[in-house]
Amino acid sequence: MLEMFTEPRGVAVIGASPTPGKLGYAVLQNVKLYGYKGFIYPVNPKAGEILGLPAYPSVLDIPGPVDLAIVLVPAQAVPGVIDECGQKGITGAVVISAGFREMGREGRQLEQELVKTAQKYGIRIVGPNVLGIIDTVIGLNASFAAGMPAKGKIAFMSQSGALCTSILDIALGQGIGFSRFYSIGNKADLNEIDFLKAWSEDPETSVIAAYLEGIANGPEFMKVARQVTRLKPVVSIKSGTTSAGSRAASSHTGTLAGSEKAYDAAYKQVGIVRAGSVQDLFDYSQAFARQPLPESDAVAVVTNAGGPGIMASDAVERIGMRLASLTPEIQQKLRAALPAAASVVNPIDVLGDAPADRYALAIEAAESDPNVGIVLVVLTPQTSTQIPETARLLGELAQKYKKPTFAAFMGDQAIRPALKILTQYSVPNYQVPERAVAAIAAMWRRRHWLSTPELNLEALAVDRENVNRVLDKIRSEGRSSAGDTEAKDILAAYGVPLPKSILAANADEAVAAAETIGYPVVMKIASPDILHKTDIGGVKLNLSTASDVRDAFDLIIYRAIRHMPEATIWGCQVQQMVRGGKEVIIGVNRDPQFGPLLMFGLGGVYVEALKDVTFRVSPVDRREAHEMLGEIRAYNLLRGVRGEMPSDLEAIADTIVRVSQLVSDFPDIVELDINPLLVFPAGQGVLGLDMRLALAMKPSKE
Amino acid sequence: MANLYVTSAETFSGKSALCIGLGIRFRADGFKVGYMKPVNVNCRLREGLPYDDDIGFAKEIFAMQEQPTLIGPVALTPAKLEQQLRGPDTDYTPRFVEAFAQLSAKRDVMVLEGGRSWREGYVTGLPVKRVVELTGSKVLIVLKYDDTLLADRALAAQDYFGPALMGVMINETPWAILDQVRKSIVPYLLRHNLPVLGVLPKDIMLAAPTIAELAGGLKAEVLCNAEHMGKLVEHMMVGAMSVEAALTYFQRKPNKAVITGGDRADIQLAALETSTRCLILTGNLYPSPAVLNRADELGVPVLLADMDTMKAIEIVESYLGRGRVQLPQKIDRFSGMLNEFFNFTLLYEGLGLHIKS
Repeated sequence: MLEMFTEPRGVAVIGASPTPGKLGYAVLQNVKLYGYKGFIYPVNPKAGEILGLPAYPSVLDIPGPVDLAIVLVPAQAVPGVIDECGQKGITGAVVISAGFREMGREGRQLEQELVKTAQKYGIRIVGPNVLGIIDTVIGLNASFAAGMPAKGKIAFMSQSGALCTSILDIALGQGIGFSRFYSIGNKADLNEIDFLKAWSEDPETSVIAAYLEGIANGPEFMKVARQVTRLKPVVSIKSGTTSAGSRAASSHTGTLAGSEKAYDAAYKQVGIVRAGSVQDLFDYSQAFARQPLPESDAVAVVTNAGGPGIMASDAVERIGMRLASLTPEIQQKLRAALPAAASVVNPIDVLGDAPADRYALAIEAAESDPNVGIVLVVLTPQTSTQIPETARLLGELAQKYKKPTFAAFMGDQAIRPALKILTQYSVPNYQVPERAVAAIAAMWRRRHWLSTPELNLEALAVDRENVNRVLDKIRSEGRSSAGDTEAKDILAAYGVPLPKSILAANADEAVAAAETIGYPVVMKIASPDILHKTDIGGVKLNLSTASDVRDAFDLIIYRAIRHMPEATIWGCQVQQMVRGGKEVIIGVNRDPQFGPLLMFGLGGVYVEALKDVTFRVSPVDRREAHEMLGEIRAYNLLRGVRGEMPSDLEAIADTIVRVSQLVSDFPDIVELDINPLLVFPAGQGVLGLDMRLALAMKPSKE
Repeated sequence: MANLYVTSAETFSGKSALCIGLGIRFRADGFKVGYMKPVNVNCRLREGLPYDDDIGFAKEIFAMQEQPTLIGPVALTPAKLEQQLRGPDTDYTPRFVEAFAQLSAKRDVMVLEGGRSWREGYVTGLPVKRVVELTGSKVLIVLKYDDTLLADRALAAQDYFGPALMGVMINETPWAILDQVRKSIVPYLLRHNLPVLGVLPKDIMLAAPTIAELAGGLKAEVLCNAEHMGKLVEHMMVGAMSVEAALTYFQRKPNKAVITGGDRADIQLAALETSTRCLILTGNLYPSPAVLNRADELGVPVLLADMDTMKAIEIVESYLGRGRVQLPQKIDRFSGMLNEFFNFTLLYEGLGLHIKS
């Protein structure tokens, strides 16, 4: 798909310079230096010879075929250069030059010109405003980075060119290798979605890693990511999601950072592993690249020190995994072979004086134990510790048993000789057990993800025309929020169960309505302008006689007028009084990146004060809806405690799915709350008692 | 020869718009129409000379060759008013009569625009009643809808003007009430011999200030998109919350000005995600180049105001709903509304005008 970048027959460096210290010199040197076997053509109007290579005044003068251009000329000249590339038949360009969209109006226009010119010839563009691209498979360093990463199976993309330089250097220090390393910059053409697709099919890549500051098209990104993660793990750092970070990100990039909740939900829903930091990114990517996914969450720890063993155990439990229970046979074996003071119960403590072979015994026991899913070997550099030998034996056993195996050799200088060996045997090493466990957990979550069924959206039987009618009416009156009846009509059109309800314009109608519905009834102010009815005393409960109803009507109307004299008041909603049941909330908000964001939580104080809520990006299927229910801390209250009947979880999930379809079908709905949704015992369903709905205000044309 | 005196009971009632709208219609129907502002007791100065916005604009729309000093013959600047108060009393009547004679000479219809209320003009010796008498005008009152006291004000005007009052136009009626007004207030006034010539709905756009007007009031620096300063601002919102709350909040109103601190890049971007006409940044804090770039991309002017948010809110509020109507796009829109909601047949009858075919 992007072969012009990964298998170019010839590379032109446009803007190459014979002067050391200039960008055009550094880049050309990099291209030459790392083993690229194709043809390299420096392009410089003054031609001549640069770094021993014949230079050409323009790509059009180059004799042989060229598939890739590295462009370094000033921004104004770039569109013209791209045009020449097109004429030459070049199909890919990495535009390192800055001075485009990030610079202001002129830059934006230049970027548009660049894209238009490229499209004319079908040229794919990386950038502009990038560090460049590095490819260890073909040994091509088309960037101005200082250095070349080691070979590896991780493909990495970053929106920040500066971050790339740090990541490169850190990776070199930690022995982490990459297959492809791309700085993607302004994403004028190729963006994260394109690279996800390309690298999912790339045989040289087994892990995709990314640093993203803003996602161009949230829904499309999710669609593609969902497919890609079925094939390969994707690990991504997403920055700028706290409010301080978001302000900084906005200031830096001129784009909204996107909310934490939305990103968390979106990544979870598409199986992307989220890294909280650059270190996490490396830790997880390494693990995915070097070890198989675990078949169980049972971790066996082998350690030569008690303290770190405990730290590892804590970390395992904290992250939600468990320590394996070794089989009696294995324990006996260990008991027989290890010194008396050694612990044969997980964590297996081989003691501070353990030489390499004692370690190997314990490791082999763990690797061969059927109860063990993952092996973590913790090592502290003590006087008798045989570090390189232990590493070698560990590596051999890992390869023999093929169980996910990880090392936490806790040290720096002393363990350095072991690092190379562990890398040779493809065993990832972490400086502290907690980081190892975090990576292990990421792998376990991926295993879980792969066994999750694909998204299965049902086509529910709904009444779209009715909803359109109601929305049109609201708009025609210049309003942005729906009145009670309107909100009810919309939800009813999508099959959300509602209590019997009649709108009464005066006290007489209210009494008639109450008699029709049956006492006792509830009355609420009906007005599109009053959003928080209870706050203004606009709700009266438990009205059991006609005179109660009359009095309530007058009182509610009086309070409403006093609270908001200009409000449009339609009367009162007379509703069947429902008793019992538990309250839950289903809400929807619009996220700028991903669209409609669904929220679920137990009602009242659980949402308001405790914020015990969970989120998903719409649309969700029934399985995801059920998953949401299980995620709130108060879930057990829904399942029933102290001999209570369980609530009708099926009905809640059904409502979530319906609301999800509603907001996906009608992008104009920017806010929706069903609060409360009353839930009855299993089999008895739910009822939406109160709801609010707001539309996006469309700008008027002048 | 028909003379129509248009007055109102309060400021910002839509009187000026109506004068312009009527003038356009009269011309379209083939009449030679002229405009006059008989008395202005509150004349402003521009570069030391008396200046009246309404007159300048009307002169253009009505295509009048005469001088502004003739079109507004009695214009009291603060200095002149002071002089009048100190004495001796100048009688402005001859000047007015002369001007009117000249203006109305070759014209079929004269539209005379009154001031802020019909109790004006006494200081010049030309109270409204007198002007109406001297010119033999019929009077049309513009009343801005504001609850039920409307009927009271209409009857008060009838009491003052007597049979010279030919009708009332009710302006800026909320859509939800239009029906009710037609069913209750209009018949009521008719029963009291006061025809209602039109009930016009409230239109935010007509009273909306331009971004340029706001910038003027705020004495703000324009940081980008100066070519879009003519756009209209219908609402105002203030950004002082978390960015997540801001996004939902900002969705609620279209065509708005958003006021926030210059350092709140995230709020500014959230505002730009929704229908925003301009950003007003307070505290004299320059915004980040990246955000400015984004605003530039979207064609949204960014104003930098050297004041705190509270002050900026006050100023913007004073402009909302009180924008100048003398803009071509607004006049077109208002003319459209008149065609739909104003009873020109009744007006022409009352003025004794017949359209020449």
